Amino acid sequence: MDKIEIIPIEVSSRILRHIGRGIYRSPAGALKELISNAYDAGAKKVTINSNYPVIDKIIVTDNGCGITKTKFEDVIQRIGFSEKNLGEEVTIIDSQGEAKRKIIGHYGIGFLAISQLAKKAVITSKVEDSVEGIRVTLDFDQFETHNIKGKMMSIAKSELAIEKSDKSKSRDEDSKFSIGKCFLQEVKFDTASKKQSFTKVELIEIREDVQRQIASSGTTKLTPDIDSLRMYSSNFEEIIKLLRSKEQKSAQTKISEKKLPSLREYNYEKLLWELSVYSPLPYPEQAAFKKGGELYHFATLANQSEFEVVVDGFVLHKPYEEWFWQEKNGFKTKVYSWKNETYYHDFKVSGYLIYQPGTMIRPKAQQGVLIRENLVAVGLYDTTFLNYPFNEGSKFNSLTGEIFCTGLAGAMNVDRDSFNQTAEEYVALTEWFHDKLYNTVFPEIKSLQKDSDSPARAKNTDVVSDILNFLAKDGKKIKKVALKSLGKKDKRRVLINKNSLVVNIDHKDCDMSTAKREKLLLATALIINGYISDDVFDKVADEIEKVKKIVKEI
Amino acid sequence: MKRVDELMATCPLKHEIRVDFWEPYIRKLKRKPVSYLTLYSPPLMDVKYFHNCGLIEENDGVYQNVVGVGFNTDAEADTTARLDKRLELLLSGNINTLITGDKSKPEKVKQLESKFPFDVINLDYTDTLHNYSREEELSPHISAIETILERQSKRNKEDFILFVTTDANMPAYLPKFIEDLRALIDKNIAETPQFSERLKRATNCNNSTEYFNRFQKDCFAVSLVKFILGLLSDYSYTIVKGDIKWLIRDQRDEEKRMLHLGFHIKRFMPPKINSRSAIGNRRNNVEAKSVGFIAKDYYAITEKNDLDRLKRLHAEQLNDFNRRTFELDVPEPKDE
Repeated sequence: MDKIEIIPIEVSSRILRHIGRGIYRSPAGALKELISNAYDAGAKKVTINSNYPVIDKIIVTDNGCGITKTKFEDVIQRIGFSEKNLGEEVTIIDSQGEAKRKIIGHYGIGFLAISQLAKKAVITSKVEDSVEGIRVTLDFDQFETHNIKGKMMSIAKSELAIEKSDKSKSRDEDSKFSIGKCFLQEVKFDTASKKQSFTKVELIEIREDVQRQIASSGTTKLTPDIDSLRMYSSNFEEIIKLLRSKEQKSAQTKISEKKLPSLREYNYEKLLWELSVYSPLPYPEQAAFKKGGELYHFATLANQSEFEVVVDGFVLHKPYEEWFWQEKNGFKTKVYSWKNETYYHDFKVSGYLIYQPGTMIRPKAQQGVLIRENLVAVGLYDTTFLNYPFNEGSKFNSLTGEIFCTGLAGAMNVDRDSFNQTAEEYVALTEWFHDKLYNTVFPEIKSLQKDSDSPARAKNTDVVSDILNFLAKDGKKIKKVALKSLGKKDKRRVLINKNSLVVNIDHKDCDMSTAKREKLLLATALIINGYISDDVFDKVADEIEKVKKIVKEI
Repeated sequence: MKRVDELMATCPLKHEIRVDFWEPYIRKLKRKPVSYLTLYSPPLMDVKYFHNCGLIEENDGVYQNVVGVGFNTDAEADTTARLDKRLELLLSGNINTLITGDKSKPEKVKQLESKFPFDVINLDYTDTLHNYSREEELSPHISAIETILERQSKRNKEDFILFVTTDANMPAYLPKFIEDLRALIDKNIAETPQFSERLKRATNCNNSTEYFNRFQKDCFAVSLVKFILGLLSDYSYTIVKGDIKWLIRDQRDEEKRMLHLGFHIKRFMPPKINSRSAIGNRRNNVEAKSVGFIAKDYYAITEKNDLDRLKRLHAEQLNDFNRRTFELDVPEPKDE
């Protein structure tokens, strides 16, 4: 038998370099990583100052436990290795007393989040009961600094240039991979602050593309024009409302009237919205989440420990506004929920879905289902409902919800923003969820739709009936008016049967939209009064439209 | 931060104006909390101070009914970063353009318009009201004041406080504007005997030339008051009380004199008459109102006389306000 040669399987540093350039889908994804770090450090509050609308620096400060020099050295030299164990509980003391909090990060890749946002960062940190702390300056290699209009801006180096330089390196050099330099300094604090612990991350030289993206300033400018249409919001509720109303307005605007730049507007607001979705934040003070409310269980899950995120003065919470719960088109919101069920071995899941009949969930980004592992969202709302195999049409647009589970850590990709969809636990969760959709949610929704016509439409029908009766009052022969189903095959709008008039509610003019209702009433009036018969109505209606147009032109 | 903003954040003289002039004036309204429009300078110390003394209300992390209008995005970013709460509305752009309803910015215009009227309007300019380089009849600042009064009147505001601050550096003004102001003094001297008498008594001057040559800054202040009174009268407003205060920066190469004006304004209602001859003569008489502004000495705070005293008085509060931002207050390492 020939000798078997053992060849080591190695990964080129180019792969690591690529990861180092950024693994997060959006700036919000990268910021989420810093918020998660603060949460794991037992912080009760995190503040983010983005310096919007200029966005030349971002400062993230938390009152967590801070980091010592030794621990920091360990982390920075082995990014990706973390002493933190996912799901491990830490105890924090908040205003309610002692609270337990489960660790949510475990890769130790927070530094990659920093490198995706900025070329340089300064981290200052201090632990409790010490007057000593650290100040660290990070300088990442994968960017080049340019002077743009007097400001030092960082632009990512071209991938092509990096590849070229990589190829010229020997195999040994390749293994010595670095993504930047770190300057660590020990610092002293005033004794008055001995009890305080904190970490402050100052992101300076923000990447140009990040700056432009958050500021919605397009590709040519760094900051938005002061004369741009930007709206100011005083609180987070206004942000959610703004995003929803803009979408509703945009949906009602004709395509020909839409302006391209408007598609880019409100990136900053979207960033805040995304952060509110991603972070382990409390629900707003709304009836559904209060004691006795349908979603109280989930509020208690989210409020296990005190944690506040404030971005540029906006106090974030889960993105529900009062409008969400209001009756729309006569329909009330329907909630489905499941508590503490087992989906795989001893892994637990709780979840809820909210159905808004006859209305699309807005903002659109909230349509779908969101998965939370230890309270932190993994990705944003999934509009495929974990690849639900059946087409339920527009019902998907009226559903939103969250699934809180444990045990999915192994199924998460390194960005903690998506899943390896072949992982057993993920497949098990999918089966559990699809079972709920197939056997509970959609059958109930279908029966709801069958049982009751839209209250708005029913009201509309009553109005039509009243008007028809009024029109018939002075009719020569007509004594009775009725709305009846004659079947879609019957093309007649109205049918005169001896001295009664029947309106075919299956006719396309009878779908009760305002324009069609008017058309139907006009047809009925003309027919009752014996001016025309139903079979010539379309012709007459065309002539009326022509006359209307001429009058308008005159 | 720009030099002027740094000064607004740390200057004890300016803080004295907030404490000793603006606050007592706002209290004349005898109601609180008040709605407040301010031309912001990033630290927005006025908002923090008025909130501190209970004149401005805070709710859910927002200074209620407070609107700031500034000039550019840098200032807007700086303002947000230095505030501890958000304002109800903070806009970047020319206040005049925003108020008069520029069609290219309908949403911003609508946002600002929806906030009128205000209880207190603080036009805390740091430059001149009509710069020498502007040839137009009405400078943007004057137009802004006029449009604000128009908006207040349209929304039926019965009484409010107006503060106007301006640099009193004569050479920086359009000469024609200064001429017009002097003409207003002459008109008063000619038409209002009480005015000429009081001027003579206080300054021993008989005309605007003498007054201007001998008491330039006082003449400027009184004529500017009269100018604003004229604007008020056009919108059926009058003043219940008005004051002139000077802040003089005299510890620098070129002395800077900042004129601070405060007015408690009320809608003008013709007084009830008791004789037929009064009919048609119940005018909103700004000439007569101007008389009260002539004085021998005006209240003035100067760096030379007051800086040390005011530093001792206000340093702690200024530091406290500057520390108060929405960011977590964490210690800075000691310098080695």
